[in-house]
Amino acid sequence: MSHHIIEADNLSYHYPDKTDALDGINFSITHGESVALIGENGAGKSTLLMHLNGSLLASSGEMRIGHIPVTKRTLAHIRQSVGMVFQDSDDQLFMATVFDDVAFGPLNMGLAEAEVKRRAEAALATVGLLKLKDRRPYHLSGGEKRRIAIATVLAMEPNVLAMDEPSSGLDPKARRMLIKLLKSFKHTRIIASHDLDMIAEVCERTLVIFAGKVVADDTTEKIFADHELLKRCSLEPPLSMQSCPVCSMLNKKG
Amino acid sequence: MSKLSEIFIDISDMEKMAGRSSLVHRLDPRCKLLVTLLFTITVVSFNRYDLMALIPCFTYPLFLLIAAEIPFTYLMKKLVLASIFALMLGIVNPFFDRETMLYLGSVPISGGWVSFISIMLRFALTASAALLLLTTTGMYNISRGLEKLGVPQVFVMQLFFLSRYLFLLTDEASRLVRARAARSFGQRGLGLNSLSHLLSTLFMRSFDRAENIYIAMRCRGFNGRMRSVTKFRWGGAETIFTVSWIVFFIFFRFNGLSYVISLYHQLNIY
Repeated sequence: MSHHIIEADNLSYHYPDKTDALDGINFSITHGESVALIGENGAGKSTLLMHLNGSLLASSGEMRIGHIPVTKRTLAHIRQSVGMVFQDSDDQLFMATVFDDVAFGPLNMGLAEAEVKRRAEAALATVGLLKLKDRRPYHLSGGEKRRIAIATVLAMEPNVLAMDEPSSGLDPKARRMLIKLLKSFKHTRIIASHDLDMIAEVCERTLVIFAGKVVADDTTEKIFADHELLKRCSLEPPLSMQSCPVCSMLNKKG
Repeated sequence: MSKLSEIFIDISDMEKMAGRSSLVHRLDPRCKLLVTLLFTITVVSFNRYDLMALIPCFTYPLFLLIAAEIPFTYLMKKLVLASIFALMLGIVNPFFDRETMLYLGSVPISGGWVSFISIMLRFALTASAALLLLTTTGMYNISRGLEKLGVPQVFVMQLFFLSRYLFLLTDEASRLVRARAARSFGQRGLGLNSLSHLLSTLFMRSFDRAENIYIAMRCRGFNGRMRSVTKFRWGGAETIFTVSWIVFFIFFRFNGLSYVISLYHQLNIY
């Protein structure tokens, strides 16, 4: 399904105070790919994500979703096909009950009531939290909130999921559930994160962002093996790919 | 525990009670809103020296309290806490209005004391009605009810978001206060100076959060109108509830009490 291709064409963005956030970004992501955006704090990962659904609009160059350029006029359409999961779930869950929150997007799409209900329940079932549908979002745990936030986006049945630090602040068990969930999706996934171990499991392709530019675009395996590149971009190989400090100590002694 | 987190728990308590399902809880929020409004108007419209006329008004909050199974002590605690404001307003009356109005046995009572008691009674009536509305309906349904009654959506949304994010705001504020306390060694931070910085930080954070929420809402197709699947239904129960309370209020507002008393005397005579 090539019509869901995501293309950044010489995309640049500078903040109102003229500081450059993105500087000539180029990439192309095909349908069903799972792509990681990694880079140091302030490299431009979140800014780039915001361009995917037009929360920010390019200063020059173009972002295209399924060959449709992201502009003010196409926003409504783009936002139905690109679902954005924000870093702070409390920003995303603003309604009084979990169900109302998940139904918010489909309702705004003007869908019939029965369809809204079906979608909301299906989305909650996908993240395994249908039992919480009448609860108030602010009484939930961090992991539950994150999964509900994902459900709010799934209910709009997007083709693309864009996520900002989906695993941050989660305990190991909640993180493990999230990884399982992300791996089960067939959507095109674009995930910005510092959790390189999660990325090693979820994403087959990685873009390294440094100072607003894409400095590397390759398979995750190759990127994580290039220690020189990672170091240059203030990153480290994921822990699971580093040699175990305890074992290596034992080896030395042995 | 800090004062702020106590308030936090308090509000969530109220929201939990709003989730119950008594007869009153199940009523359409619109009829509860209407009756509460009319009740408040009735209570404040009495003459300020007219103590006796206020007594029958207690029927309404008492009815809600019993029908909605809200614990009496719970309501009283809230009332006592809030009564400080009414007390401050009313306490000046006995000093200005010293003319004797009535005798309690042989003790002369001045007009000031009568109006003071009247203020306190009215406070107890209106505040308990408002609290009971909140505990039987919940903030979300109140705001949706207001919207359905024709209140402009801008106000309704303000109210709704205030109630939704108050939790986070108190949470953030208590974290800031704790961080300040941890570095001020028993003194009150640096007094007003640090307080003003603390408040401005809180303001900036809220501002950022508001922007993030707005972006998140826009991402899910928000275009200025809140929609919801849950529908309100105005049925027979709502009509009976509203009409009978209106009749009740009108009757006791226009000297119903003295009519009842004279009827009682007449019955005793014959």
